[in-house]
Formats: sequence, structure tokens, C-alpha cells
Amino acid sequence: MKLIAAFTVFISLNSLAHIEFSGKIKGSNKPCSLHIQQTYYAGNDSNPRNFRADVVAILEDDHHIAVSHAEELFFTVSPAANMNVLSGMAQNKKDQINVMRKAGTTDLSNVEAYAVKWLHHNHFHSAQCLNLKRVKN
Amino acid sequence: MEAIEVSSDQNFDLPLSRISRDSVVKKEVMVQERIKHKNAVSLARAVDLEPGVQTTLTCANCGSQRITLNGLRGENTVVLIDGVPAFSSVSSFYGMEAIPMAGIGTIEIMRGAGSALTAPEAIGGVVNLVTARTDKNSFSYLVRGGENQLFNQQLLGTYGDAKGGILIAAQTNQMNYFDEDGNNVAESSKQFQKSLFLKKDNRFGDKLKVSARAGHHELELLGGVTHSYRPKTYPGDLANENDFQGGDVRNKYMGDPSKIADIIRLKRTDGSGSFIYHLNSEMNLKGSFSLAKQNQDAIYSHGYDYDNEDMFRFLDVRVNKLIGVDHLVTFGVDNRNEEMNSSSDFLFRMNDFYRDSFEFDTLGLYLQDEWFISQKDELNLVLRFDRMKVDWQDKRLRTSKLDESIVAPRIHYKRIHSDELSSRFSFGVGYRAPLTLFESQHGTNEEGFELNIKKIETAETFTYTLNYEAQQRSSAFSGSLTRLKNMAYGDEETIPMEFKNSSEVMNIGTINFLQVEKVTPNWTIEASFDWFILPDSYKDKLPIAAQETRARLVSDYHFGKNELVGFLNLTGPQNLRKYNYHKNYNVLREDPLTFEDLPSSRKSQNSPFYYTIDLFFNRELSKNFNWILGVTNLFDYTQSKKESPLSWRMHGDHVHLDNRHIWGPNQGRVIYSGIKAEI
Repeated sequence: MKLIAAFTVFISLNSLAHIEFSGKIKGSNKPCSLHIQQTYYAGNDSNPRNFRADVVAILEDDHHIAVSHAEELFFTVSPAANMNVLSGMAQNKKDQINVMRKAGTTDLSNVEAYAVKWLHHNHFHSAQCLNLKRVKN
Repeated sequence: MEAIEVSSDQNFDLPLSRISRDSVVKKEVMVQERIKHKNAVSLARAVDLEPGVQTTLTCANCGSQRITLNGLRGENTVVLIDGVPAFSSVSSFYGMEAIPMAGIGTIEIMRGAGSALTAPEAIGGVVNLVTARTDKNSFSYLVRGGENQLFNQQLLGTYGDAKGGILIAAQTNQMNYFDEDGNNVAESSKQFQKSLFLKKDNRFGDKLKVSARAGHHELELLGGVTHSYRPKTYPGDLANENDFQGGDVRNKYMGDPSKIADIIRLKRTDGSGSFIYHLNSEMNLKGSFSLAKQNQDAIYSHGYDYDNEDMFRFLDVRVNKLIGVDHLVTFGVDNRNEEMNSSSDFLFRMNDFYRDSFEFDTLGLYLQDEWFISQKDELNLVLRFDRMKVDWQDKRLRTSKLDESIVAPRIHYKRIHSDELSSRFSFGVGYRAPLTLFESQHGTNEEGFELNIKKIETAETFTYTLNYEAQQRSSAFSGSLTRLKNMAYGDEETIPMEFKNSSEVMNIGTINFLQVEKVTPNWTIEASFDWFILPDSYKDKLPIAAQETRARLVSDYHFGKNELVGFLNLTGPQNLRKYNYHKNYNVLREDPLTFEDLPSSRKSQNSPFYYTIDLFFNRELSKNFNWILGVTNLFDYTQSKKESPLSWRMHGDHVHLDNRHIWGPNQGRVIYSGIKAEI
């Protein structure tokens, strides 16, 4: 049985594109994907530090033997101290995502991997989606 | 015909080995004095370390004590009161701590599948509590107090004669928590227990004897926390690495106490009755019933609440008939019914996980022939038929019904080789319907559970005992092999945990040796050794590590009006990895980039050899008063001083805090003293 966990990034300004990456979950090799729905710059200032994006992460759970409810969570991600990483926390202040983009890039046109951590009932699960390849523009 | 009555005589002439002489089934008897010497206030503590018996603490937080016989699990032990089943697999999970010792005359232990006529599910064996006699006038009051807030009172009064009588027994008991490693997480729970029971026996002429018993027991276990905090609701999330200094469970816990607190409250009301009517000099009719209602109200540190109500009913009617002078034939019918209804705000209302409520019903027919072949040979043959039906109420479960019939034989043979030497051989078949994950886990699980039970558990036990009894010494050697099939267990690798049957056949062996020497008329010493031979595939399905090798020396010395008893308990080293302890770590940190749990500093994978000493001293102050002084765990040896049972445990793709890395004692030294008044 599978659990689908969906993470969406809330878009507030300047929608750019819908881009989709797919990869494999570390450990189980089950499919995972990342949907970048919109990107924008906070305050319309194109300084790379102000880059923002909304994404949806979809994971197939590899342990659950019974159907659980899908979760949909909202993030705002922005560059971390390491500019190759975009981080975001969900509105519930519990779920987190780190998106690893290709070194030297300043947008999300080339994403390598992401990691998510989400609250499942009363405890956290985490997963890493690796070897992301762009499948849709 | 007397042999078919349950004896409640606590002073009968037992041999030094305490293996009942008359019984063809090997029956090991604990007398009241032994229970007192062990400072035992509950059944779980009274029988611990007796030959072939282990009381295992299955989680340090929740305080669940399971009684295991011949290396089989707690759910394979059946507890009888005066020969009548009184506990279900659910009610025995915490219930063993709730069974008081006040009013108990003797405890009989019969190990192996098929060791009791009316308890086919006793794959490990049977513990029969024989209540005290009512045919005399007596009163006793015992009060004990000691370190760690130990306070125990036991009251027993009887009034009667050969025609019948009444018994009233009451007990209160409390013990504080132990936090021997000082990390602010208790390794042994705080306990409060109180109970009351009444018994009435009556003889009507020579033909009819009637007995009735009723009791009420309450138990509260408060685990994890080291002060009087009592959680009122379950925690919103679980303890994490930030709750300990450096994420290390060996350091102080700094988080919200609700994340480490377990509170379990039990209320149990039970009753039973029996009659025996002599139809003529060669035949009698016997009937018995038992009713028990147990309510559990619990909040677990794993972040959920879980309550249940367990109703247990048992009825047995049999006819015993002498055929000739050599055969005592018994045929009868029994019915056992159990209904368990659970509720949980977190599990069932908020998360809509599957419920574990069920109804269990079994109807049994049996035929027994006790054949006195000769003065030296006795044979007991039993054939049982049972139809077992389980109906799990939540129809979303993968399995929701079980309906099986089984026919099982049992053979016990006793051969008297000489006045001193005898042999017993037995072969028995036991079978049990697995009912709930609760049998081996407390409640379900914070992620729910799935049920995939397709078969009943069955077991065949072969046992041989060689017994030497002389005036001054006694020896008993026994070996047993149990072949357990379709073992039910919770699979920790799945989320939610799947309760299912194992496809492997487990061969579980036990070897025991007991030597008792009466060195002088006033001094008896006893040495015993137990070796439990468990296959690896069985070990990795146990909730915690079993003791595999152990020995015990007991010295009982009377001088003047004094008695001094010492127990030296030795436990051998063992490999813990086989029990899945390799999943347990001391330190947890999280990779900030990948959110990956990074446990480190794996907990010990080998337990050391260790020993504990208990002492008991009794001085007779007068005919009616005795002074008691004792100490349990004299040298204060605890596992937690070397290694906390607390760990970060790998479970699927995440790690959670658990308190099950248990391999040694978790209660430290307790010095106690008390007075016993007897009239």
C-alpha cells in the first residue's frame, strides 16, 4: 500500500512556469517527483537572495501496509545560507523541505535532489528524493 | 475421589524439591513462606526465578510484567484461581502486578503445553493460585515499609470449621519509581495497588461442597517521569533529540514530561464459584464458573491514549467416575468467552486507525482417564476437542474472523523406580487463538496496526523429569522441548505494525536442575540451574531479551526464634543482538540538510554476567508477633547504573525514543522492615 505525501509551495507573485522533476527515493528506489509551480523574487528585487519558489513534492511511501490519508502542505522556500539550498517550512511550522539545486544556478531550472521531513500523526518521517531529472517544462 | 478436588491446604507434606508427590502431572508448589521470604506482594514477583519461570519487564515505562514459563511468552501462560481460569491474554498484560498475595495459600506451577485439563491455551504452562483455607479461625495482619516509599499491608481473616467458612483478604501496596542513572527518566514505574477479596466455602452433608469467591483489584502504574506529574492527555508529538543534552539518552532529559510519561490504571472485578456433588461413592459431578471484568485506562508516552474493557467468562461442567479400582474417568464440557472493547481518542477518533476490539468464544469437550496401572505406574490420558471462534469487530482489518476446530491428545506418565527415585514423562498439545497485538505490545501502536492472523498458535511439548527424594536431600532434573507453530507476533518492520503468524516452527528447549539439601534439621540449602535454549528466529520476535542461563542458591537457616533466608541469583551473559537490540542507540542527531536521523553509539550488544542477593530475617517476638527485616538487591546492582534501558530505536524510516533495551534488574536496593501479627 502506498502513501502519497504532497507538498505544495504557495505562490504569491510573478508566476513563471510549471516545471516537473522526477527521481528515486533514497533507500527504497521508489519514484518521487518535484513540481515547481511558480518562481518569483520577493519585493520584485532580482537579487538572488530574494528568490522564492512554490513546489509540490510527491513521494510514494515504502513502509506503510495500509492506506493512509494523503497530506497537502504549503511552503515558502528561499535560499539558505548555502545558496545551493532552498529551504522552507510549512504553515504548520513542523514540516520542512530542503531543495538542492545545481551549484552556480540561481533559480530552480536545474534541481538535483530534495529532502522533506513531515509530521505523521505524532512523529516525523523524512525522505530524500535523489537523481532528479527534468521531465516537463 | 479426593484427588479430583482442588486442595487449599497450605501445610501439606511437601518433599524438599516441592514437586507434588501424588500428582502424575509435574506440579511445583510454592508455599506461603516462600512468598514471604521473597518480599513478594504480587504474583509476578512471587514466581520470578522459580525453576523454569521468568518474570519479564516488557517495557520500563509502562511497567508491564509478564510471567513466562519454559521460555514461552507471557501470553502462553495461563493463570488459574483455585483451578479455574481467571485471566485472559489481555487482562494478564498488566494484571500480573494486580494479583495480590494476601489470601493466597499456595501457588502451583505446571509447565508445558497440556498441563491443565481446562486450559488448552497454556502453551507455556499454568500458574494456579490456591486460596487459603477457610476451615479454621485465624487473623493475620502484615505491615511492611522500607526504602523507596515501599509500603505494604496484608490482612487475612478466616472464620469457619469443617462444614465451611469465610475468608476475607485485603492488600495495599505502593512503591516509588527508580531512576538509578539519574537521567530524569525512570527505569521502573511507580506503583499503587489495592485489592480486596472474599471467599465462602460450605459443605452440605457428605455430598455437596460449594465455594464462591469475589474480588476487586485496582492498580496504577506511573512510568517514565521522576516526580508526581500525571499526564491528563497524550502528548502532541514524541520526544526528540533536542529533549536530551546532546541528543544522548544517557544525559538529562529536559523536555516536556508528557513525552516520557506512561500512566496505566486498571480496575478489575472478578468472581468465581464451584460445586462438587457426590452422586454416589463412585461418581461425582463438578461445576465451576468464573467471571472477570477488567478496565484499563492508559496514556502512553508514544503519543496516544488507549482504554479497554475486557470481559472474561468461563464455565465448566464435568463428571468424574471410578471404573473398577484402576481408572478414574472424567468427561466434561467447558466454554470460554472473552469480549474486549477498546477506545482511543487519538487512535480511533482522530486518526481512524483500525480498532482491536474482538469477541472470542471457544467450546471444549474433554475425556480424561487417570489409570493407576500398578503401584509403580500411573498414566493420565486426555483427549480434548475445541472449537475456537474469533470475531474482530473492525471489518476493515485484513483478517476479521477465525474459526478453527482442533483435536488434541495429552499423555502424562509417572514411573516410581524406587522409594526415592521417580520419572515423569509427558507429551501435550496446546493451542491458542491469537487475539490482539496487545498480547505482546501495550495497546496497539501510535501508527495503528494491521491484522493478518490466519491460523491458531499450536505447540507440542515433550517433558521428562527425573526426581530423587530422600529424607535429607532431593534432586530434580527436567528437560523439555516445545515445538511452537504459527507463532503470532507484531512485525516491527511494517508501518503500521502487522500482527501475523510466523511460518517457522520454533523449537524451544528448557533444561532445569534443582538440588535441595537439608544440611542440619535447621538449615536447608537449595541450588538450581535453568538453561533456556531459544532459536534465533524466536528471539527476534520477543519484545525484550529473555534470560538464557541462570542459577540460584538459597539458604534457609533457623536458629532459636529466628530465621535467616538468603537468595543468590546469578544470570549468565548473552548476545542481545539476536533480540533486535542492534536497533537501539544512545545518541541521535539530525542532518540539517537531509533531515536524516543519524543515530550513533549503539547500545551494548552483549549483557554481562551479574548476580543479585536478597536477604530475609524473621524473629518471633511472641506467639502472635513476628518482626521482619529484609533487603532486596543487597548490592544495589542495576542495569541502569551501567546502561540505561532508554534508547533511540530504529523503526522503519524513522527513529523514536523507547525504553526497552532491558537485560538486567531495574529496581535498586530496598531495605524493609515489618511486623506480622497472627491470631
